[in-house]
Amino acid sequence: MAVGEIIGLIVESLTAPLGLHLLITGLVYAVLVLSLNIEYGWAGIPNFGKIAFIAMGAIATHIVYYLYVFPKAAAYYAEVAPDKFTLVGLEPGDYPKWPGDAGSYTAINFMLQIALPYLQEHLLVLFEFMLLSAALGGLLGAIIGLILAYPVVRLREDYLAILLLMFSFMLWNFLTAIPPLIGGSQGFRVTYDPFKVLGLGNVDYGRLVAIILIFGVMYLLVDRLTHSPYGRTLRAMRDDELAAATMGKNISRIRLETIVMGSFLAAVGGVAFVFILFPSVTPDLFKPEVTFMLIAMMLLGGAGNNVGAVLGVFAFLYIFRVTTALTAALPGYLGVELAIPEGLIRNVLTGILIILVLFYRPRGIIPEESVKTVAWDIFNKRLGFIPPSARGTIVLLAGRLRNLIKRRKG
Amino acid sequence: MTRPPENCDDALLCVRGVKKYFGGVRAVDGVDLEVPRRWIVGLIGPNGSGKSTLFNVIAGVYKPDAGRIWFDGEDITGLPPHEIYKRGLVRTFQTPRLWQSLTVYENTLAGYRGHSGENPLRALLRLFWRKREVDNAEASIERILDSGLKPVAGNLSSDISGGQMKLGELTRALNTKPKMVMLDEPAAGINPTLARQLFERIVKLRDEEGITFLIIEHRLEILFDYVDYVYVMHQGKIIARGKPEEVVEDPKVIQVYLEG
Repeated sequence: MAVGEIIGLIVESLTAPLGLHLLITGLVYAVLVLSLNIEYGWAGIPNFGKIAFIAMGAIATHIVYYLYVFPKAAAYYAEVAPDKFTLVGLEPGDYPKWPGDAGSYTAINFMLQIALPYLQEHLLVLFEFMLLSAALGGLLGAIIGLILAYPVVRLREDYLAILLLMFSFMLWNFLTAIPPLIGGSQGFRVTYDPFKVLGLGNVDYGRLVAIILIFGVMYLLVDRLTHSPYGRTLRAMRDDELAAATMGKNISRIRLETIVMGSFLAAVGGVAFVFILFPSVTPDLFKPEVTFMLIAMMLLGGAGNNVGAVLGVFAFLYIFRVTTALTAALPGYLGVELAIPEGLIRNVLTGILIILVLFYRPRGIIPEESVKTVAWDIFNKRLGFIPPSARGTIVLLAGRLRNLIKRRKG
Repeated sequence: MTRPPENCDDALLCVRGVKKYFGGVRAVDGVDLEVPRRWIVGLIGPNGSGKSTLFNVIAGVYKPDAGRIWFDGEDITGLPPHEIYKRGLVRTFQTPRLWQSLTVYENTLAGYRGHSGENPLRALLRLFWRKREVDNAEASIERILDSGLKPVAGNLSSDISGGQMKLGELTRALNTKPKMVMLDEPAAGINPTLARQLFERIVKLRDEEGITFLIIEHRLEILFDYVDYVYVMHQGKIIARGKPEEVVEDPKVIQVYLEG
């Protein structure tokens, strides 16, 4: 009886419509996974500290908040409603300064009472806020990526992986301990409101439109970058460094470039992560384990394949949905109260499902394909061949069909 | 940077007193060697005599513990592999090192020098590199037709035979328009007919494109029919040098090969 019900639950959660929230979440993560895919999937650089570069987007947002939005909001309300300042405990026209006042009680009150209402009324400033944050975030991500990677690009990838992982652990602690970064454990708040404009009055439609735009630009960038001679070079480096160096590729430089680009895109994605997905920013959004969720999404979809990586995100979210439903139903079936947190069971179930997928489809849902440049078209035209992946699929399907016919006859 | 020694002026590759030790093992122990332009030079010796280590030192994989190397009149001692490639010296490996997740065709495409599409910013705009990519593609296809790799050109390079991998590596190396190619056992694992075809092609490449070759090979009966000059290595040292017919009769060489 229980088995039937469990299957029912799985089917139900898989067939339920995608839902606006899942779509938005998926696209935000897709942006982040795309940046990871350049580094990990294409270039073979295991960036185990991805989340730290996403956090750069949040840090940039926080800095721009203090330096750009606060003065504007203070100047505006000093004229319109000076009494607002007495509530917060400031002189009219005064505002919390970065970095000294960051994360203080006054700063949080100022943010909630003065800055947020100002942003909700002045949508243009909010868009400027987002653009400036993205620009500063990208810069910050690229610079930190450069500083971290420079000393170790000459060593094996393992060292880089360890360094980046440790950095992401360090930064997670720093985010709590050092208020100028994102306001300490209290974090900071931005707002969804400007997206009302894009969605003709509906915030969620607006968020969807915004993330589709960001995702579109990001996908185009990544696809152009990878389906080019550069993408071929990245794969060559990933497959065999020594051979690539012998064929004239400067491995240290290419690795550095890739990490800088990946970090830049991750930090810009981090700004989208803050404004579109999590407007209440706290240090726990940037736990190091998030990196591994992103890696799982990428492996699930197909590392080194941009379409695959995006599909992987949605596949993962579906798996997550199933495991969430199962977790909720589990105590009922077992007839006991579980003494461990639900999130833990869900993580275990998610892990098992991913292992199964990787076991039966190790190269992901859509495996890697040839680099598509004009050279590929010329080859097809002159020597006329079917690309390995497509040919593989045809052979596979033909084999299945043959077996099916045999079984019928038998 | 020092100038090459006088007796080495005309040689394309000049090696003087190169040493490479691994702990107590003297893999290369004071080697002097010259490769004149447009020559095909063989490098032979029993297993473990230091031939491949010498290749690795010349190609920049290892830095020599002593000695200097000049290529085309320029001191290249201790330069990294990609810098040595820039100067027109490429190599193949004893165990073929094609990029496994790329097709054979893509492997041959990735070797070209100075491709603007390999710059990450230019890669974003196709008009910067489209023309070059078309030229490279056409040239690569010609080389593939020429080398007999056509039937497997669309295969992933992990899915072809060992001999085809060797051919693929040579084709990839030739696409870089090199001045000199160092081949590490090109005929190993290839049947005698194909091996002879391979060496005939090497001679043709030398005659038509002016490429110089330095070749490590164990199959002396084939090698000696095609090379101009031979160096014999034993225990990290050059023990004999000369024309193939001279080297064969050298008592030291006979002894080394009989000892195994």
